[in-house]
Amino acid sequence: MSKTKKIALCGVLAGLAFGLSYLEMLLPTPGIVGAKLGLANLAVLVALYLSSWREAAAVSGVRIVLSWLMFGSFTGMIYSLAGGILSLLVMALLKKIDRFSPVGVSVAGGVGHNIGQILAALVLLGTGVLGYLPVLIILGAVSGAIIGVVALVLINALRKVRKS
Amino acid sequence: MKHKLKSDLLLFIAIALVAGLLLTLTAALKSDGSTVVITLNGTTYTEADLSKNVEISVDGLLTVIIEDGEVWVVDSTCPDGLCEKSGSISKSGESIVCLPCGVVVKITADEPEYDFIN
Repeated sequence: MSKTKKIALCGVLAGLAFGLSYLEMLLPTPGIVGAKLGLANLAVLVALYLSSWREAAAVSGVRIVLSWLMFGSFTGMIYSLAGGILSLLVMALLKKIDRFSPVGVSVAGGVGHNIGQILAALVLLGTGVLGYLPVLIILGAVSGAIIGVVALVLINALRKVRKS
Repeated sequence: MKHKLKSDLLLFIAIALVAGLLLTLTAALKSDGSTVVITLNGTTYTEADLSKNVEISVDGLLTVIIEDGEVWVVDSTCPDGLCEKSGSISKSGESIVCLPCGVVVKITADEPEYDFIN
């Protein structure tokens, strides 16, 4: 992919991720601290598969900073960032070893995101938050699987478009 | 592609097993607690006896109610109100977290407490 195309793809996907973040804010939450569907991860996964982890990191980073500036708090961004970084790290690694489809990569990403948030909470709030770990791991895997299936369809469709 | 979906499934099952294990482990270690510890931004704000009925205002951010051995949060100033929705806790090791306020309400036991990190 040429540099110009990469930049354009990043821009489109970052915008999409930002929009999805906003959409997710409008959805009702399941009532557990830190539990989210992670719609924005769709755009990050597409960037990871159509380009590379660098573009995925750019999309994720731009989304987190924009969400913070538009409707978040600074502490909210710290949690987002911790989740986003660990999630991306895990996803890039699993994609590299090439044993899993985007669904598996997304499952690991979801779990990584929630563990990252717990780690941030551990530093900011102390060990009281560890009780949430098991529930958040399961929820991360489930939401990751849902997002992963959508991402798989999306990635395959987009690859076909790019070939034609 | 098919063998990849199979390893996806295995990964999912492995994660679910680990989480299930952690869950049963924490559940097994829960006992009737006796002290309520409230921390604000990582430092202990106050401690209270679980058996005494009181209302504690945490820095005006939210109110913790202790009644008949149960603890819950009301009047939180946080935007999402998840800490109020999480309901009441009564066993040691259980906690209520309010991320926007930076408050953790945790029940601890008097006897040495073991959780899954130590």
